[in-house]
Amino acid sequence: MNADTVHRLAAVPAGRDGDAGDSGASTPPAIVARRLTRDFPGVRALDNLTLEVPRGAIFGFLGRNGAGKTTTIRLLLGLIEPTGGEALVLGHDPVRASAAVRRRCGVLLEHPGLVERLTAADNLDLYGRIWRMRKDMRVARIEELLQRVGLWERREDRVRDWSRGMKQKLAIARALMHRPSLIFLDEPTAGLDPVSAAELRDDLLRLASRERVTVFLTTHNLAEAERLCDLVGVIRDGRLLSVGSPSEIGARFTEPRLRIQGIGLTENVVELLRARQEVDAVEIVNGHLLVSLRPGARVPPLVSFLVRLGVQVEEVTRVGNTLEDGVLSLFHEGGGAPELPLRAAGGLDA
Amino acid sequence: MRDVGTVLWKELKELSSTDGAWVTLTTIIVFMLFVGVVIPWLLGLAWLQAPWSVVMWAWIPFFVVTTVTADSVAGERERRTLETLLATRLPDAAIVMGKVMAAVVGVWSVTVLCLPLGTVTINLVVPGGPHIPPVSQVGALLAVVLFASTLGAALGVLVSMRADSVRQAQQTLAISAIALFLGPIVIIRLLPGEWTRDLVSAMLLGSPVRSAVVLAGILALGTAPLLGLALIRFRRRRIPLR
Repeated sequence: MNADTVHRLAAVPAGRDGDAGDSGASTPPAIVARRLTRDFPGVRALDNLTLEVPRGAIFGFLGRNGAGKTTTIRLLLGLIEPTGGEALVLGHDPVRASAAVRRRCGVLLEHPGLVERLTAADNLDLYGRIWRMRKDMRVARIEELLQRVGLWERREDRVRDWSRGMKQKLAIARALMHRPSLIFLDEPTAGLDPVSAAELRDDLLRLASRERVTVFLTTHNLAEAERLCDLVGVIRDGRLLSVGSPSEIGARFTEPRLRIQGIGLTENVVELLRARQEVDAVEIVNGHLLVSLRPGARVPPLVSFLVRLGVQVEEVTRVGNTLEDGVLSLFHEGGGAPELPLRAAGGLDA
Repeated sequence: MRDVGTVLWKELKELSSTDGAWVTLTTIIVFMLFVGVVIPWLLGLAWLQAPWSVVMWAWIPFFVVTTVTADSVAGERERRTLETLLATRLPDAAIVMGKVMAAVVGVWSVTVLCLPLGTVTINLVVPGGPHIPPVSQVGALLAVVLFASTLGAALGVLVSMRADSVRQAQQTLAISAIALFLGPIVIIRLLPGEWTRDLVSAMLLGSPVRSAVVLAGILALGTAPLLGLALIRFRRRRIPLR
């Protein structure tokens, strides 16, 4: 895919909008990046990123560690300068008006960034002061947020002794403290156990929906992106490979697959199926036949063929078209490393 | 100023947090016992009257404040709180000034408390009292401590912002502290003999008030450009992030 292609994302889900009163077809995107590039000594971390993220969306930026996700966030927040290209975040240039960008954004970066010697309430109070909130507003907001993430009873605890999951929840609350229009979340569930990660995802969905905020989320957990995101972008080695909704990514890049259950699924049947023109690949997985079809292939003739071979077909199911399939396909298509490891949870990293 | 106050609040709150409080309190007590009791007891009246003793009032707060500010940026980077702080609306200058002020307020206050404590010690160990420093000397010493602390804090922020770790920042600052105060001695040794004699004579026999005023002036001249440099150099986009 040409990295210069402008990825226009119009599909903002109903009922969610970044700024109250900003809704409507003419609402400018929350984030616009044009040929955004960043070089570090000896390496191009981000290569001509061109992207638009509409207001109100939960946007997932997918890629392995080192793909350029964190660099993108730092560029959009004005924490580093681009080598080339330009961006607009909430209508402001992160290079020339980085303070204006940061004023309207909340962040949870790679690490929670909490002051561990302070209590949970003091951590939020600090950021309330930074955002110049009045004392009564700070007090009310701290209670509201801590109640929502289930940490109100622990508000006087020092954060140092907390689990990573609790710290992440508090860090998300901190990111929302000043009611930003846009929040950047860099790997919010990284390092969490599955239960904590699921809890955090629920909290995140609830908070994002209630706060009506645009979310720019980076992750290498594909299942998480599929669950949370309205839109995803896939990045590899600093280059944006594709943008779309999780189902679009899954459908756009994955050939249809069939899972066939039945009696008589032998190696001989597999060999005969492989020889057929409409079949791309066949394998037996857990006693089922998993058949990848070539584009345009029809299913009924294939089933008839199996019946003629003596197979007693019990069930035929279409599978695939998940985000995971689409992303893997993208990586392979783009010269992706075949050794690309996949975690059981659907991650991009080993 | 409000943003500076916020950073100051954060730094002081961290120092006085439940677990940090004991370390801070113990450090302050040991410091005060050393500077306000042990040194005056060992030096006797020279602690009050010798013109060279003003150097001590500059060197001690300078050295202490550099160890505090070594942690200011490098420590935040190590604890992974720096990037989150930089991603807020806080102006660069407010972050620098808040960190400098937190260190200066702390060290200046404690050092200044050593002055009455030391005076009491002198009066207890040296007969023929009362031995009370004149107001002009106290004022000049307060200025010496203030400028030395600010100089150390500005240098601390400058070194800390580029250092890979707190330890590296502390090592660099310790070497700077030694160089800063050994440097003049080496320079004096290199001067023509007559000049050296005059200077040494002034240091040993001159007025302690005049020595303090001269030293405060020299420190003020060094502090202003160094603080300005720290404010200019501290730019989000130049700060290395992990």
